[in-house]
Amino acid sequence: MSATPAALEASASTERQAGGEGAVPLLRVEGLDMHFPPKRRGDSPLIAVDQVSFTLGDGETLSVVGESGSGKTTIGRCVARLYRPSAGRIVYRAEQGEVDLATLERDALRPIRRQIQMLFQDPNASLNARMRVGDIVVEPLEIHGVGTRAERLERARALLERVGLGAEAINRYPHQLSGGQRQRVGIARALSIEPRLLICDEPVSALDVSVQAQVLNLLRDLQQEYGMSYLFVSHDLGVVDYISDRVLVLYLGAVMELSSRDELFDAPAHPYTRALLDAMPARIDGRHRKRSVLPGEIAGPSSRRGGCPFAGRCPHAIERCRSEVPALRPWSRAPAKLVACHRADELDLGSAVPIPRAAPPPSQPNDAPA
Amino acid sequence: MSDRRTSVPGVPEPAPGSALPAVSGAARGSTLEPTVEASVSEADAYRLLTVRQLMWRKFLSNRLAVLSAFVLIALYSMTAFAGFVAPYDPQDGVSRLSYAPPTPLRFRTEEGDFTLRPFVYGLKSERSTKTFMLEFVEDTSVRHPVYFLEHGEPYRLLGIFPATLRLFGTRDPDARVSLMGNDQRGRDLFSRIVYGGQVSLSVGLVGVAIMVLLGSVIGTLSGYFGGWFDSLVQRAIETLRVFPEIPLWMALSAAIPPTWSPEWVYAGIVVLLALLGWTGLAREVRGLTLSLKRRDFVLAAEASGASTARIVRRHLIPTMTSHIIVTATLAVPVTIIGESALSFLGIGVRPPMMSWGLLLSDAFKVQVIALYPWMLFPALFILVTVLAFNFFGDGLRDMADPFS
Amino acid sequence: MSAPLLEVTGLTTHYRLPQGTLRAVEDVSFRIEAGETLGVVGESGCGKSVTARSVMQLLPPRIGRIVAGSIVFDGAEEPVDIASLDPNGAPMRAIRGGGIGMIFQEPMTSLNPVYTIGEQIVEAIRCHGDLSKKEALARAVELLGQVGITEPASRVRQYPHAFSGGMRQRAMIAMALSAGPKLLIADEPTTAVDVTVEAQILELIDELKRERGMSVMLITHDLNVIGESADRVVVMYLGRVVETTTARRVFDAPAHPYTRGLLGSLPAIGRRERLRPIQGSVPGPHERPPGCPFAPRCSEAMEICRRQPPTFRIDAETSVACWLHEEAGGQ
Repeated sequence: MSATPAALEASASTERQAGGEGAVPLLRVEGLDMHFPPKRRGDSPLIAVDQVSFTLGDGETLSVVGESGSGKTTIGRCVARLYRPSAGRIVYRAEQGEVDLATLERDALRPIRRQIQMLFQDPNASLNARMRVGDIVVEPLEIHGVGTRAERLERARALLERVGLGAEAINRYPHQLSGGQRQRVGIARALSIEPRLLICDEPVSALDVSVQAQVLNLLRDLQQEYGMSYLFVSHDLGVVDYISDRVLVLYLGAVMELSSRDELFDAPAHPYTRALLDAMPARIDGRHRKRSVLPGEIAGPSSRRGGCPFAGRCPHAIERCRSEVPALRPWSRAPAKLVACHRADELDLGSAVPIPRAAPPPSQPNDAPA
Repeated sequence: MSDRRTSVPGVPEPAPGSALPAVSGAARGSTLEPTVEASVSEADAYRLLTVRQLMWRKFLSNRLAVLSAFVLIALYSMTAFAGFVAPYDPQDGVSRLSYAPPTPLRFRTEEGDFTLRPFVYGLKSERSTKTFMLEFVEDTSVRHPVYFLEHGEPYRLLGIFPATLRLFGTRDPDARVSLMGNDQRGRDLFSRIVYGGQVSLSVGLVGVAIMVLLGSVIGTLSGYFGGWFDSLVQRAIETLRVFPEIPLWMALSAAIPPTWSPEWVYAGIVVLLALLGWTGLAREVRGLTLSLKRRDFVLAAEASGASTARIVRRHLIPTMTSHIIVTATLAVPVTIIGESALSFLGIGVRPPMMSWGLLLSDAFKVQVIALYPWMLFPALFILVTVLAFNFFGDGLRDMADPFS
Repeated sequence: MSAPLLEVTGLTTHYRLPQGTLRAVEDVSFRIEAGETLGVVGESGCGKSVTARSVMQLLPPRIGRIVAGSIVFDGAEEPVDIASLDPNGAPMRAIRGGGIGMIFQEPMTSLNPVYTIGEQIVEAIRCHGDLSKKEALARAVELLGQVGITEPASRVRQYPHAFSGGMRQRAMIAMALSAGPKLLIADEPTTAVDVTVEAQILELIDELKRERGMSVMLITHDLNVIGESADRVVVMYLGRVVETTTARRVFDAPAHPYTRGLLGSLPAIGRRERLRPIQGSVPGPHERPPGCPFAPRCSEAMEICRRQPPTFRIDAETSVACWLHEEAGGQ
């Protein structure tokens, strides 16, 4: 199921040429596996992530999309080394050269952790309720011994201003802030040590729509300013369309499609991608179209048999799909895109229902910057 | 299973509340019926209370807990200022008052006169015509007024400062006011209880302090690391808990050399109780740690490169503090009972040190209980203390979660 | 035009908390006709859930109280004002489940984990009818089949944890419909499930609605769900209704600045230009502004917005609580 390194390289290099970067990618994940021991003895282990490979360049946003059980959160946590991967390599381009995060011990990880930070989904759980906002924001600086206490607090004030909270927030406690404000504190904390890579684990899913938009705009602006790369985990294709350069589609822990953002929406190659797009609400000609409903539900990750994980629900499945695991290969119509489907080259999914472009919303007098 | 937004049903999330009465929508142009003005008064308006304020209110609304808090303050103050509160030296016995009954404070004479100042009648011994034993009878011809804040025998306040001021007493050294009777050697039981409380009550606090230290650290590390360390610790805890408490205490306490001074014996008893009592707290802390260690804010610290020591110190323990305090408070009465039991059986604190348990051991004869029931007063103090701690601890536990 | 199935007028619900009185819902009015789906949309703190609970009289005892307004439900022989009923009395209990059914957001916590699905549905059935246990069980199996659960006869004996999220939601729908209510209140029914399951659940509700001639009150924060499934829409903010209109109009010609702001904040596939979020954030309960609740964040706020605007009717379908429409609207 894993892409050959050549295929990955080819895909990434095409992207890089488009993006103008010539260097080695910031992050290269190869054959990542994550198995969890079963709850009961005798059951097979839970395969949360199955041979996932991708690259991430400088200043780029790669979204990892999937529904529940797809393993997207687990991937993010593996890259942050909150889990130790069962197999595979996570090659990070550090100052001194490339290192494989997957096998490093805790002490060796520490300097690398200065360059990789994480944003969490639940604003209530991601901040220590007993600490003041200022202390929360400077903690990474403290851990790495950067600056004096006064300098760190100065930095905290500047960061809180930058994320739109105002320097006075420095003495507040998390319970005195709203969900959106807490999420901004999380962003300020992640930014404090100026990471190169930010892993965003569904950072806006738990927020109200209007706050979501503010935070998304903030993340985009910060990416420009700081030149960070984002590994953005999400289930919402609307958000993914807004923020991504490239997209990785996951189902039951395996990569189904890896593509540039435009090509994903314009010409989906994998039936699951197509199904996701069809399941999203959208408006055509002023009416909300009827969503086409994919039957069945995601089976539990431990109930995988041989063959393509999506075969049970795929409307285009053939016999081969149930017995043979498809490899992640370049797509015939757009070699920069990788697909894991036996029938990818012959299926024409893009011409089924045209992907509706949402009409621009009516004129907005309420034009406020984020 | 999925990762979408969740709102808590039934709990209004930050929603409206105004300090000013709202103007209703019943102005002109409304298509709706004018509604009843549902305004909210200034005093009733929604205020932003801090968590601390919410906790206070929760605690104060639990009257039993508040009462218990006062009782505990009173008890601890009483024993801290033992010399002041007790009218007599606890070792000072008057042999003719052996097993003398309590002399109640009276405010009304036989003739029916009411006096502001309480007094006690004298005691004289008579030979009963029925049992031919000496009995104490109140001598109503002699009245000894009780004076407050008088100077009596010298003592050392808090063990350091020499003083003579006493809360109450008679001016006559031959006439004693014994609120709770006298023991076999004619020593005032109330004074002995007050001094004995010093040991009984402090054992609880000191013992639990040690328990908290041991239990929190071991429990946190055990929960955080898991693996073989956790298994080892858990088996050790289980082994300790398998033994029945009292025989184990007895065995270990019997191991304390008889040559040790009473102070060292006291220390030994405290350490002993703590060493055997930390397991409960450790298990609870371990459980809490297990649930906390996968919380996002702990993961965030890990992802930033925090060391284990830092995570335990800055993230785990502060979050568990309120639970630990509650558990500790509820562990105090257990320790007090433990010490009382040991001393009662004679293997705890040794004379001339006093504790309520030790005082009770003097009462451990059928004759005594039948004839001199006031010797059981120390039990009352133990009972009240234990109840008060339990109610207070319950109040703390409710207070720690003001949002329920 | 027959009388509406549910007519809410001037509903005001307060919560008595240690911090003071929380005005969760203020002067809310709307109606639901027979056979239609009314969407209620808003963000946190808008009071949509509290409104639903007020209609069902499921407010937390001693804390939540309806202090004003009427809730006229015309489901049985005679219309009855729910607001005047005793929450614990028999007439209200008959309405709950019998006249109005409700499903909730988190099916795992809404189903009792220690009883089988069958036992829970049977309980609901027997509360409203005289069926024997056996008959009720047969009916439960039938219901499970109707909501699209395969092999209902064996599923009925399983516990909630054996069901997936979507299946639990279906089971809850079966429970809510067991007594044949005329109105189904769905409080964020798809927020906690995947998008593919969401599409299934919405389709199911739609189907059942048509088969049974039910009305649906669909509560959500997701404008897209509203666009698909609702006929008419009520937009709420900070406890008040700011706009009432058709589902189509909400997207084509939103009248209230808040509704327009919401649309501007919505990321959608194909929308690449910068999102235009509403400035500021929803104020906390202690910071509620006098006058129009949205005024502090509204870029079109005027002097007069310090007074709470009345609701202006713009046309047959649309009414807005906004001074901007003072001339356009009339009575």
